[in-house]
Amino acid sequence: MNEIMDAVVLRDVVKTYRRGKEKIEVLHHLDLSVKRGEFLALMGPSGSGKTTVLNLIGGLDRPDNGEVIVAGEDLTRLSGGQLATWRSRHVGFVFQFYNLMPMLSAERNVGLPLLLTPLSRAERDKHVRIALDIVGLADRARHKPGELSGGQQQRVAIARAIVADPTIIVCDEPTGDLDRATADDILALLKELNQSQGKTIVMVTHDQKAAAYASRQLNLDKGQIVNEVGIAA
Amino acid sequence: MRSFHQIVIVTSLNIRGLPQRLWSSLVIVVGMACVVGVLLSMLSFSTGLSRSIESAANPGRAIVLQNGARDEFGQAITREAATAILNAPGIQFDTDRRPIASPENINLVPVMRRDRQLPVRMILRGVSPKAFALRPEFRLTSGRMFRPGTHELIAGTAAQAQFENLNIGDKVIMPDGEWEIVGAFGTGGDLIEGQLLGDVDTVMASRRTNGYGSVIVRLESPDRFAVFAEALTANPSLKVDVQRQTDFYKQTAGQFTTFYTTVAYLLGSIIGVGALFGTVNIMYSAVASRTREIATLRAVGYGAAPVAISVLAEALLLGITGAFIGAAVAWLIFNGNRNSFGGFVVFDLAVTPRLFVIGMGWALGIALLGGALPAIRAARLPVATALRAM
Amino acid sequence: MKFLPLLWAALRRKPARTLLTLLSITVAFLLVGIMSGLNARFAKLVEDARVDRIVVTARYGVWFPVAYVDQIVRVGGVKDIAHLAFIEATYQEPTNRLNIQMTDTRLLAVQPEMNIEPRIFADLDRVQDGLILSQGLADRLRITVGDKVPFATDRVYQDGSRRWAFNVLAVVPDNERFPQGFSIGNFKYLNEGRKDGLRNVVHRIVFLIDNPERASAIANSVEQLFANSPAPVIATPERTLIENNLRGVIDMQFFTYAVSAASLFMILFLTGNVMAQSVRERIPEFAVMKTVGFSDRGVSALVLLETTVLCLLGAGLGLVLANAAPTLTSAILPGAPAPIMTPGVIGFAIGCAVLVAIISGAPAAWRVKQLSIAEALAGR
Repeated sequence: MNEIMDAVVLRDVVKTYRRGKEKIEVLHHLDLSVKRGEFLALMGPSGSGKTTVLNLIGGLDRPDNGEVIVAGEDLTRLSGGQLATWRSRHVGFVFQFYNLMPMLSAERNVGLPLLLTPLSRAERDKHVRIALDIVGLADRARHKPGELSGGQQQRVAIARAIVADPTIIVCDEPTGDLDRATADDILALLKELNQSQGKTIVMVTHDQKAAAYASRQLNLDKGQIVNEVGIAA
Repeated sequence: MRSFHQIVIVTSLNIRGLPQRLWSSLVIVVGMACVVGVLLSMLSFSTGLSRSIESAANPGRAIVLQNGARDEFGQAITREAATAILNAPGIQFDTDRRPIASPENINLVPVMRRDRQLPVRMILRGVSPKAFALRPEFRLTSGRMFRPGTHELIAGTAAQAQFENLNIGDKVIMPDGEWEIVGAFGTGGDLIEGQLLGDVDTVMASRRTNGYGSVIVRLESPDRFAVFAEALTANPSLKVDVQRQTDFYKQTAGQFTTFYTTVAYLLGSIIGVGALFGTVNIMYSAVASRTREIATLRAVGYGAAPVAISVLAEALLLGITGAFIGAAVAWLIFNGNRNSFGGFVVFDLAVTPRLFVIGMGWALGIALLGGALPAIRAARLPVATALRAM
Repeated sequence: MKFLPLLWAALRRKPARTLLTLLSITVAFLLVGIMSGLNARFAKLVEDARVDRIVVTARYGVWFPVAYVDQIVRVGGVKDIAHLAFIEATYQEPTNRLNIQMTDTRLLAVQPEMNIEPRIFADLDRVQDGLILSQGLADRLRITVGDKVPFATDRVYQDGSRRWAFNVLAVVPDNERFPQGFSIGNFKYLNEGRKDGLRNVVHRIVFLIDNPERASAIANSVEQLFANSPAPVIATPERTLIENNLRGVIDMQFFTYAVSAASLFMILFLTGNVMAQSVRERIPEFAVMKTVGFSDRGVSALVLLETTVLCLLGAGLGLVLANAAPTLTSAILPGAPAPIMTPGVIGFAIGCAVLVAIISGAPAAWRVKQLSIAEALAGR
């Protein structure tokens, strides 16, 4: 495999969790790769380890064994502090329950990752405006999450995920809390970001219809890849 | 009595849940402890000072002062006046058929205060021979009594402890030379024990003064005061004020302590307000964290009032616990500490049962005020919405 | 700072709780401000006292002969000299108290900081029952120039009563050196009008010396002059006298630190608890901040910053109130010394605020630092 083409490489990854005295092995010597510009859907029953894979790709967790190489960087070699910095520059997250800060306006939510950069106030505001434009919420910039619908909140979350121009966008059940129509809007937006902006997206979902928006689908079960389906773009 | 029953049940549920709210409950306890601790510590000053002054009073004694005088510092009671006073009716006679009465005179003598290495002036009281029959609380504890007509003094044990160089054999410098301390005495810890005593005529001669500051008498019985007082006020050649010694010392104590008591309550109020806000804060959180529990109780049929009272009860319980701790700390640190008001009065700081009660009351007041609004909030919880939110 | 909107949002989350906490902190620092302000006032009173001014008082009683002035003035190094007798008086209510200094024109030379025009003193010399009042005192008693006011005193007047009537000659500006105000009368009025058997005696003689370094030597010489007389005296430099007086009753330093410590301890617990609870409620938000790239240390620093902002705000408000406190206390305790806000007082308060913030915020900051993102998010 050509690693320059790969946005993500997981090699021989093992991850176990401790619950009380029990040790549960979630990922079992897993190998996985994602090419640049791919829109990958990860599917599988609960407990299959798909969220764990997402956390590893996003640098939110460390494997017990193996390598996690994202955008050419081996995350297992980074310290906690370095990982945080890396996250701010290379990954954008979209969660099922949006995870916006309730007391901040949409534009302040979107600008959160930029506070960690040395950009000036004016530059930060510019990037935020662009991001909100892309997701189509420029007119709601001042609203708080409480004043927005579910779909709008998820758009804000997506804007936050892209505002720092990351290499890869990681989504965990992004449409899990939305109705069908809104879900389609969100998925269309993600697809748009993938195709016109070339963003690599890894999305965990259990919704087959959502997976259909992706360019490739992987099924996980008991910590192993069991199936791979390629869908024409 | 169904309400009372409910109150008991809800309150005990409340209390049983306290360990989960341990840290926040501790905030109220600590707050009350601080308020009561600070208040009682400051009040121990005035309480001890008053106690030292007022315990020198005996209801069977009366004190005669120059007209309008507030203290014994004057020198206006002449020998003739003193004689007239001693002849008044109502005075108890001693076995030698002399009236138990003592014309006395106060002087100030420079000494060095031990605990702060501070020069102050203490009281040297010139007393008459009958002064000791007058004061049954007086006991010579070491050395011997001074001989009248000589330059000899005795020192109170409290004075010896508080000031330097007042031991037997030490010399006190008076206008006419050195006077020697030949003995020590105790009076049960009242303010006389913080003074030096000498023969009044010799002391007055040394200071070239000719008038007494006061005459203290033992009455035949406390009821004979009126007779005694009237006889003196009716005498046109005497311009004196007559008081029961208890009244006089109460007034003196008030003069010294009013300011400090006021300051204590003022500062105590300020810190009390801080604790009050803290109590409201914590109790509001406590109610919020128990929303589910309260809603369930209400849904099941418990009334709003028992719920509200249980909140108050929790605040009161925490308040009293804090008050106990604060009072105990104040007592441990300050009770019994020797102090003196300049050099005038030697006393021990006192955290008395009365102060405990005041502290308790203060804490209860703050707890009630602080718990009131949260209690009302708990009572007016909209049950349906609270249940739906679960 | 660019993180301020985050902090502000955090504090506004539960406005009632933030407000109540802020109020508690404000009250605690009001107390700290008052106590350390009083401490500073006492220190200033001592500092303002002159080392080149000596106060002579009776050794064994309260009065001594005014004639001593003639002998003292001949001691080497003595410059200006004046004598004083005090009358404690009340006007109408027992709470309206004055301590009137009965003296003569020479007081102006000895106490020039009173800043009174010499011609006013000259008037006092002529008008025997004259009275000079400071502005604040005159306002409090509602007396103006030209009034003839009777005071109730502790001294017997010629007519047998204890009422002395004074003719208000002048009301002069207040002086910071005399925060309780001052009143001055003519010594002759007291000396010739008193009927308690005393005459030509004073409470104090005050004099200036040429060389402050010789203060104790000169004071000793003065004491020696009268050591064998029936009324010996004590001579003390003014600064020493004031210092001793202030230390004589309460140990102000201990008092200040003890009361301040108690109030700060109280809010330490409160703030620690409130912060811990607030952070607990915001775990998901802190997790999100970490996913977005905030480091462990970064989020815990934000928590400490939040606590610090809260404490500093409370401390600031408390000091502002403490500054206004004197007007309240003078209503309850007229004549009591008032706290002053020196840079030292402000610095002490700020230092305490930061210390309290760090200690009380530490558990919450630690919690947030240790927060594992995956675990926190898995909760959803």
